[in-house]
Formats: sequence, structure tokens, C-alpha cells
Amino acid sequence: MTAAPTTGLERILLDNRARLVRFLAARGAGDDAEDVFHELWQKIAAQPGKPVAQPMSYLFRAAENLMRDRHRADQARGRREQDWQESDGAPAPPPGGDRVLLARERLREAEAVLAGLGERADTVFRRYRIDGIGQAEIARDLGVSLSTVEKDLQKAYRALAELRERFDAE
Amino acid sequence: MTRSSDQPSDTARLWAIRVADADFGDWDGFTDWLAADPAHAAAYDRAVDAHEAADALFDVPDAPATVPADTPRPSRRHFVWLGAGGAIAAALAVTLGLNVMAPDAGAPYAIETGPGAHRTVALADGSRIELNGDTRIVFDKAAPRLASLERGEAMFHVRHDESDPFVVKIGDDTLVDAGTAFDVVRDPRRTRVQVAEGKVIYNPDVDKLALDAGATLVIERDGVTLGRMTPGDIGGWRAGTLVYAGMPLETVAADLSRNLGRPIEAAPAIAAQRFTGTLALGDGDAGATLTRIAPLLGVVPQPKGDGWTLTSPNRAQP
Repeated sequence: MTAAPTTGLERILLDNRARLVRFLAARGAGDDAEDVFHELWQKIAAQPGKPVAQPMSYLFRAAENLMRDRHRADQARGRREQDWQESDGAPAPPPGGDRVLLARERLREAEAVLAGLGERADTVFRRYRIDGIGQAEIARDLGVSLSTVEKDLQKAYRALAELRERFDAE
Repeated sequence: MTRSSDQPSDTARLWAIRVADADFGDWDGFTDWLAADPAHAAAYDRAVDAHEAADALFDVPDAPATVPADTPRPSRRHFVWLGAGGAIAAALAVTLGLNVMAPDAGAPYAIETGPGAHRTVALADGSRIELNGDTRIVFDKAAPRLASLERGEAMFHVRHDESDPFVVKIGDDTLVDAGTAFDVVRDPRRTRVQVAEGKVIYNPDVDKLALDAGATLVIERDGVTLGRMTPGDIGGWRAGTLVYAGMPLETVAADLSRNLGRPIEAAPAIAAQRFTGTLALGDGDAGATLTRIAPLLGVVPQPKGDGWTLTSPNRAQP
């Protein structure tokens, strides 16, 4: 059916098929889990052989990304179908320059919300989201546990989600 | 107003935070939690959606620095539309003070590929550019760190040099390398930029968008849309793999033309229909490949001239 595996990563993928299919099924693919696994396999097989430090993490991450792509497409399709029914089918024109001004204003409010959470939570969120530092490294730098970093991020995201809901209602 | 039963649980949010970390490793634990209850997967996706929406609040370019009077501004204004879920580190404040030469200064020369043909260009500075089919790039011996993509698709692997950054021009738009591998596709109505490694700065004197690994940009006449994609999928055309998330069929058709070397168009009735999935083109001939992938795309290829029109399988539509 397909050529013999050419890369080590592809062999590891196939050796761990059951584990990855179980993940994909539980992750939301359900009965399509085997199809999604096949799609993952095609992608991995097509990549040039490059050394990967943690192959199973890499493969799970690729599987997770694939599920997120499917979720985003489902959401977008649902929104577009609704828009299609409500309009004449032409794509909506992109918004004008005042969308950027609004975004800047909202950014200021988001930063105020973060500041209101206290210095450590604010710092943790900034290091994670803006500086792109890993959670374990943030924990080490600040001398706290990983669990503390996770809780600070939960606090921050909860507060930002409330803010976001307020914006969406406007 | 959302009811509390629609909100993802704290546990779902915690998993969303843990899995989002690049160093996350407890995939079996995550699977166990997901498998424990069918509602968990949906709650998790909702939590990630909420986090991405929160992240998007920070995707705003800073107000541009005052542009010096002698710097020519592009004639088009660019409106930035922040695509839903886009989460990238944008907002560079520093103007790079570039003096970008017009592509026809000095001694220009063009490299062009025929339909379906690939070619790799090695530049003297160690940079390497892989050209897809039906692609034309203009270089200039007098400006060795400048390339102009006139049409088609190229994957750039650029040698990084902060004192002399590599610049790619696509019509009125400029991409400046800050240590990168990135793919650019120029179609008549849409330019796409996808960054695989490092960082690329889009229009440093106007928009100043910094695109990091995994960031994507779609540039259309009226604005740009930011997005995200798995870095490993970028430049997949070199191995005959095309990856899409919600791409209009007219663009997929243009990509198929470029990669298969035959004219392929989407019928107007379905041109705006979106496709998500992976196309593995293989080495077979264009007709056989198209026949094989047509069901995935949900289309019926009709021969037209030297190529095909992709039509709807629904008999009521042309």
C-alpha cells in the first residue's frame, strides 16, 4: 500500500500506532481516528529525515496540531455557513484601519487586567506569552514550583477570558 | 450570555495550559483524562479556543515610529485583520532603517522555472532558494542580499547577517530576514508567507510585523491576515505534500497547477469553498494524481485545454 518506512521517525510512528490512535480517538476524532492517523503518517513520511530529540513527544505534538487544525476548520466552516446563509455569498470585506486602533485600546485594557493580578502572575504571563519562555524555565527563574506557574497562568487566562467576553458583548 | 455548563472546567483549562507548553511530555496522562469522559475533549478544545482568543489580545503592532521624510512609503495602505486564533509575537518597535534598492538597479538577472519543474539556487553568501514550478525570481549582482519574487513560490533558507539582512520583495511588500527559513507564494490576488524557522519582518517601515516560526501571513489587496501553522508542514511542496486549513479551492487549484505543471482552476461556483487536509501528490503523472486526490477535495476534475477545471460533484451546479 505505502512504501516501506524510510525514516526512523516513521518507524516509531508505526510501532506506536495503537497508542497514537487511542490518543486521536479520545481527543475527538472518534471513529475517524484511523483516518486521522493515516493523515499524520502521510505528513511524517513526507518530511526529510532529520534527527528528533524526543520522537514520541514530537509525534504526539504533531497529532495534537492536526486535531487543532480540524477543530479550527470545523469552527470556521460553521461560521461561514451561517454567514453564507445570511449574505449573498460574497466574502465579507476586511475591516478598516480603526480595527487596529480598537485592538490597541483593548491591549491596554488587557495589560491593566494583568497588572491587577499581582506582580508575580503578571510576570509569569508576560514571560510565557510575550517572551515565549517555557513554563519549567519560568519556574526555575522565579524560584517557584511548576504548579505555581500553572496556577498563575490559569488566573491570568481566566481574567483575560472574562475581559474578552466583555469585548465580544460590546 | 454563556451558561456555566458551556464554560470549560478548571481541569480542562489546566490541561490547555500544560499541553500548550513546548516541553509538555505527559501525553499518556492527557489521553487518560480525555478518555475518561467524552465531554472532556470538547471542553479542552473550548479552553484552548478561549486561551487563543486571550492570546490574540496581544497580537497588536505598536504604533509605527514616525517615518523619516525621505523614506518613500508604499502607495497602498495595509489594514491588519487579526485572524481568529492567530497567536504570534508581533509588534516590533525598531525601524530597521533599510535602504531597499529597486530591483532593476545595477545588473539584474532572472531565474525562472518551467511548469512543474523545481530548481535550487545557491547564492554566493551561502543562502539557498528552492523554486517551485512556474516561478520567476529576479536577483541583482550589485545587490547580493536582495531578491524579488515576481511570480510563483520559493522556499528561502537565508544566511543570517544582522548588519546586512536579506530582503525579499514581493511587489510593494518587503520581507526582511532575521535568521530564517520561510516560504513565499505569489499569486495574482494573494501572497502567502509562512515562516518555518527564525524570524521574518514584514514591511519594516509600515506594518513592522515580526513573524516567528509557525507564523503565516496572507496578503490580499485590502489587508493581511495573520495565522498559525505547524512549522514542519511549511515548504511541504518540496516533498509533494500540501497542507491546508480552511484554504479556498481557487488557491488550492493554483498550487496544484504550480506543482503538477498543468493549468488547473476551480469552477467559479466552488472557488470560495474551503478545504482542510493534506494532499500527498506523489510522483505519478498529473492526471493520475488529480484523479486520486479529487475525492479528498470534494471535486470532479473536468478536462479543459491542457489542464482541468475542478467542478462540483453536485449535478445541479456547473
